[in-house]
Amino acid sequence: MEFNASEGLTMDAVLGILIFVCGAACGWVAHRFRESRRAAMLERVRETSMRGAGNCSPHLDTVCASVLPIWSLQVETGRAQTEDAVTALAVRFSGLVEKLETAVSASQSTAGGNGVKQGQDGLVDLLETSQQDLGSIIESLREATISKQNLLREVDQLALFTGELKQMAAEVGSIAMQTNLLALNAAIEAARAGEAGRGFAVVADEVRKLSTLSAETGKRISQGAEQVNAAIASAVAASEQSVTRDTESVTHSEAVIGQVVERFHGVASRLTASSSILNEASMGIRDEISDVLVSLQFQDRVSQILSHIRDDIRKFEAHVNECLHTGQCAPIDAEAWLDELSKTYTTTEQREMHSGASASQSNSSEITFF
Amino acid sequence: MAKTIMVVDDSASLRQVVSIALKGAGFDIIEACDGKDGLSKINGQKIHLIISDVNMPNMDGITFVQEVKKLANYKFTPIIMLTTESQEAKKQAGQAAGAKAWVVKPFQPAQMLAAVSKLIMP
Repeated sequence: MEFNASEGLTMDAVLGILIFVCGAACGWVAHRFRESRRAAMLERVRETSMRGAGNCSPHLDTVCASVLPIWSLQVETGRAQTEDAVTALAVRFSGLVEKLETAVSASQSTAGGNGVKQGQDGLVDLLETSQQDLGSIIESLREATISKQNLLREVDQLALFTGELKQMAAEVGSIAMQTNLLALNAAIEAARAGEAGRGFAVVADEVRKLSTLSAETGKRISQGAEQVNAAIASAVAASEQSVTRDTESVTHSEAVIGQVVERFHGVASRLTASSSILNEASMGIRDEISDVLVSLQFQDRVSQILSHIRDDIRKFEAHVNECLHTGQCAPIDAEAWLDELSKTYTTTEQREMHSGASASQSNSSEITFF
Repeated sequence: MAKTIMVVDDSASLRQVVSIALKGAGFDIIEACDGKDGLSKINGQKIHLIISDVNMPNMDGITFVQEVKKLANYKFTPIIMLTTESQEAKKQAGQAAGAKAWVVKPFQPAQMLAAVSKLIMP
């Protein structure tokens, strides 16, 4: 089936006109209905007024003069009591809102971390900072252990030097022994030379003494090197034990810190979770508060409506009192009275009720910017 | 520093309701019970915005706005009329007096905050 655009437009236009006509007709009917109700009400008031003017009953005037001030007072008392109660309610409500805000803010600030407003001094932030600080301490301890291990290797190298020293001492001993043999041979040769070799025999003897001293020195060097070697070995062994203990200590500390931080993380997570729940709850309460604030404003509307009724009762009371004092009851122009009353209205529902329509209650605010 | 808003309304509960709605957003509130009281409290105060009712005893809201606009220091202070009145004639009177916005009670706190934020930065 082909779609004709112009036909479609025509149909839309016809439909639009029909809807408009129906809307206008409904509006006109509603207006006529309200007008007829208002006319009927006015007619009833006029008839009542005329009957009153024709039979100005002193008894009715007296009743009105007695009752109207009481009505007026009771309306005013009701209005004032409601106003006082709602004001007190609003003040206490304001206090509750402030306390709630303070509690939520304190909870968020204490917990900090994810999901809620970040607090610089929050537990989660504090924990993260502490973990970093403790990690840097462990790292420093580990570096100190590595440094100690390097020092140990350097000391271990010294043992090699003492070995060389021992070798050199042995060589000194060997040279001394050979020198001693040489000096002995020289002394033999000096004795064989007789008187001529006597001086040489003295030199040979001194050389032998020197060789003996050299041999002893070589022996002492060797003993000293052995002692140094033993001391180095002992120091290295002690240092190795210390490094092992340090390494174990660092590993243990790391594990303990990890466990402590883990436990704190658990507590912080639970705190953050409870803070999030509180935050979500407070958001819900804020919405509730918003609705309550709207509801509280209806007291202002009620107060205004009651004020207008009170003022009108007082006006009527003044009229009745005048009747009683003068003895003449001037007829009331009901239409003028109602018109005057309508001018005091400040709410839409008052005007709607006055014109005979059922009063509507508005929950949404209307904002106009100029 | 928090900005200051003057709330002028003869209903104490309504003043409280406006205070709750605005204090939560960080505003300071000065309350006045009618136009005359508002004028007596306005002098010398640093006020960034005024929220005023229309129908009040002693001095009504429209007269109050006209008087505020005569004061050199408050000539450009934005004013929001907060009232049960929604008649066009009343709104025009408010606009002619110098009001910047017309809010019909009951107001939603979020909408009031939006209106205030539109006229002054929070």
